[in-house]
Amino acid sequence: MMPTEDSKPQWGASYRLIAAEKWKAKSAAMGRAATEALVEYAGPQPGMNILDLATGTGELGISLAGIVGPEGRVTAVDLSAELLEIALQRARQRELSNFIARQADAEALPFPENSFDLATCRFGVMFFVDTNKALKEVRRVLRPEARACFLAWGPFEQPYWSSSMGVVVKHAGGPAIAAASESPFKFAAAGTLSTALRESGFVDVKEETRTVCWSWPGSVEEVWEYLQSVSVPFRPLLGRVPSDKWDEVNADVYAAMRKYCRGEAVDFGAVVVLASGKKP
Amino acid sequence: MIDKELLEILVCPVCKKPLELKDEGQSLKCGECRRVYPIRDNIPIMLVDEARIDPT
Repeated sequence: MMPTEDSKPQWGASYRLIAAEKWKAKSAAMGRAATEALVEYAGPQPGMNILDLATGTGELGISLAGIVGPEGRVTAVDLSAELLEIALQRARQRELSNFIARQADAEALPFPENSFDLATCRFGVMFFVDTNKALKEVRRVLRPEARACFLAWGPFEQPYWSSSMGVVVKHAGGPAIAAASESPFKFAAAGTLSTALRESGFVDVKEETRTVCWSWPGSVEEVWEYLQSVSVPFRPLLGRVPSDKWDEVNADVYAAMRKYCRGEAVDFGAVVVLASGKKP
Repeated sequence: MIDKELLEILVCPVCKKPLELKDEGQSLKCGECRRVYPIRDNIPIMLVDEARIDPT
């Protein structure tokens, strides 16, 4: 039975897949610095066996597959088979045969204990419904001394979000995100992800907040179209905008975003949280 | 057909017990709880909600 629209965010919904496909080059360019920050933070080595959680279209997992090389492997896990298909296609285009995909839930991973040398998750840990259960599963499948490394969104109050969804909130009222459990900003407050990691049995926990390059190589109109289609947790907010108000909302979003235009790009910058913990 | 060696690293997400290939490589069955997980387009669907329980 598939989760229904009102019970769980639809990461593999058709509108999102079309947007993911349409904007894949520009969204990859925008997210590249965040991917690189997590790669550097996680320190993958050739030959490693890596678990990449909430892989999506493979932004991080494919970079890792290139680094671990033919002796290593990246096992990509996501709830959406449709997104994994896109990731597999990208891996095939790059002739990476060491990138494999399994449709699975982080809360019930289909791997034996002590299977992986490293676990990574780029912009996904916030969406685990039961964080503790998922992190304990990640710990279980890691080898002793192996690390789990996460990248999460910093606060909603930062250029990328306040110039977009923040503007919509002013017009539509109500909360930006309906349920706290689905918030991309669940671990924005310093120390919250560290606490979650410790509570799940990780040791030697580290955390830092960093600003990375987050620059859309195109127009404000494009990035706003992209953002509306892929930001699943904001669907209820967008749905509250009265249809006759959209012109006004869009004009206000464009005006807010134009403050960040640098040449041909919209240069938001992104405040992100990097955190990691070790399996004892 | 999915690589057999790679399947050996999969276990049932519920029981964490080994799985065996069924239906000419189109699904994976847990010997413990008898859940059967389908494989579509080379992606094993290891979701508990998507599994059927084999009565035999």
